[in-house]
Amino acid sequence: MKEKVLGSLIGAATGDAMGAATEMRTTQQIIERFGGPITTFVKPPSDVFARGNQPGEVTDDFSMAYLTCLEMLNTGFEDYDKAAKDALIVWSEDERYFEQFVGPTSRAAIDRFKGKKTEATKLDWLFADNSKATNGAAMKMSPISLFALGDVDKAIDIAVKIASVTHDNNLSVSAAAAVAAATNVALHENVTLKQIVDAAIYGAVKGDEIGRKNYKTLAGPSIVKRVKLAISIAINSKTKEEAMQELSDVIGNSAMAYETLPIAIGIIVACDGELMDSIIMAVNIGYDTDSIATIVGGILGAYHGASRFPDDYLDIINKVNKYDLEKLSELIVEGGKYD
Amino acid sequence: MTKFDKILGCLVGGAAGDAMGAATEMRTRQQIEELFGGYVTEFLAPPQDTFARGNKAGQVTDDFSLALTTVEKIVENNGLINRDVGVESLIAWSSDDNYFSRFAGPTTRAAINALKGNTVEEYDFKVVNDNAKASNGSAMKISPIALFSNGDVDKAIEDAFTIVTISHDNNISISAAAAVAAATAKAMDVNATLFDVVKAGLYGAQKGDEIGRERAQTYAGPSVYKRMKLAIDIALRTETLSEAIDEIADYIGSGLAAAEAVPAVFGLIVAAKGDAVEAIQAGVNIGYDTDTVATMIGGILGTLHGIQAFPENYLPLLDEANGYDLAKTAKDIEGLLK
Repeated sequence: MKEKVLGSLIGAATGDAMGAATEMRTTQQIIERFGGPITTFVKPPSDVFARGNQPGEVTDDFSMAYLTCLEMLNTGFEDYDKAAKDALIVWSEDERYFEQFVGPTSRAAIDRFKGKKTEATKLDWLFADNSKATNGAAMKMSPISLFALGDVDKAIDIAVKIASVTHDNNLSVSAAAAVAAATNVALHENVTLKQIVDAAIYGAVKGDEIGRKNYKTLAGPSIVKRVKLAISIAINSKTKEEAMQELSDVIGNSAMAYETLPIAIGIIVACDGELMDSIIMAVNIGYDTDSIATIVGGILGAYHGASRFPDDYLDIINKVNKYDLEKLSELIVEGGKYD
Repeated sequence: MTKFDKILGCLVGGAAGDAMGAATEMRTRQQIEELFGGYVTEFLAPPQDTFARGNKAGQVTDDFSLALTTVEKIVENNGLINRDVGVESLIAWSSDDNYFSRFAGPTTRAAINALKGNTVEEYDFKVVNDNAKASNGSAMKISPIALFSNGDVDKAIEDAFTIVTISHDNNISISAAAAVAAATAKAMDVNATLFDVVKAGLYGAQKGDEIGRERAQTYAGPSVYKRMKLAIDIALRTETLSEAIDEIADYIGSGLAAAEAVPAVFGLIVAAKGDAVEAIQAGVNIGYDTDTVATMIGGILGTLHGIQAFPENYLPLLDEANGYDLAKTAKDIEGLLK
């Protein structure tokens, strides 16, 4: 279990750090800018959000997940809401992350906790702000959901509670629950790719249901239907290249939850669940590459385990980000406080 | 059906879609049904929790008002469409506070502010692609502007490029606008069928994407063309219009993104078998950016079927509510066609 939990952490951090360099570009622009697809950690260029990052340094996706994991250990799992809020406050006060990376929905939530009236909270009179159906909850959910240790329904419960603190709408919750469910099935021994994909759909259905009942229902495409469409595109494409192009053209790769999550699942299917192939496809598929690759890496890292990554990845990530992912994986499995 | 009927049909269809959709915008189909007690088929006063709060029944929002201001400026310019007339239109429209401060979308607003020298930098560095700006503010206003092409599809695409790149300088928004412009231009042909119009839309989407990549910014995002094909496919394989509306909302989406709203337009047009009023109502009830979707549907199908496609009260009602004289505007446009 520890080896799978650590795999998920390394996978999510790897996807985030690799995707940090390619974010916002199209696949073609990535190839032009870097002289080919990105397959390793590189320094992000000066025209992307992660400008100034070192190779291997993560962005908002994994850093938020990491801090939330620490807060969950410290609050002892009785109050997810408190853990999520405390993590956001700590995160927002870390100058490495907040101003450089914060997404619109997380920013609005943080402003609200701090009692600030800002641009981000200006539309509170509106019936529904559909533009808040973003991936900010799903992007951090693989590592956070590891505390369920393979219990899918518990994972969905964690996902719903943590997601709703910032993204209290059915679409974002649906995507977050899909990530949590898929990650936790992937923690099982002898699991198949089909079971992981089925879990993603189960989580998406459940998350949407709970979201509609307990939170805001926003107008936007169905995560469940788009996941199914993405899987069908992945299966029906003749080559991996064709699948990548079709997924990006039809499903989309933006920060909207109903694009990020379906395309992540589509990529996993298109690459037959292969670990690095899938992460690399996500890193090069364009637009919100770091979030897509974080999700892909989090799920498949759990599936394959830590030993399947290149030997130096864990060291690079720990060193550049001042993390101790091995210790975190132990605490997630065995309990205890992180200090 | 005369050319005048088609021109007036485009204006009335666009205005009707905008005004009817103003009440339903942002809600899901189910939320629309809950609030209004069913499927909306009439002009209603928008509720207090939508952008159009304060509008009367029949009043338009940014979609049609920006189109009409641009049409009026083109008429003043003797039918000549160039960048200057586009800039002048945006400035003139923005000086009417009834529209600008309440309705301007994020991309159009940023462009107008920049034209006025009030550039607000969203980022403190030059971001490679501002992908969120691949929005539908380009396509929403283009149908009436395409009337000046007098049925020349390629001219309509080129004019769309000229006008929309002032605010929406990217291949995705251009592709979406060119699709709507091309479909509208084709619909001016008295012999045009629904099939011809949809084919022209697909041609426009491809052409617009191509010239956008060549002559404007290339942004990361879905393909308008491929999503249009998927939307049309959904429309053809669903049994009823109602089912098509739900499936298009779930798979394609009907939001602010150009790659959602415009494909949804073509899907709904096919699903409604080209019936102008039914297709507009489908746009009004699909949810999210209903006014924009319905404006584009009304513009395209109003042109195809002419003013006769609409109930008789639409024209006087829309003229009254907005202080328009759409028949006069239609005459002005007709007078400039070569």
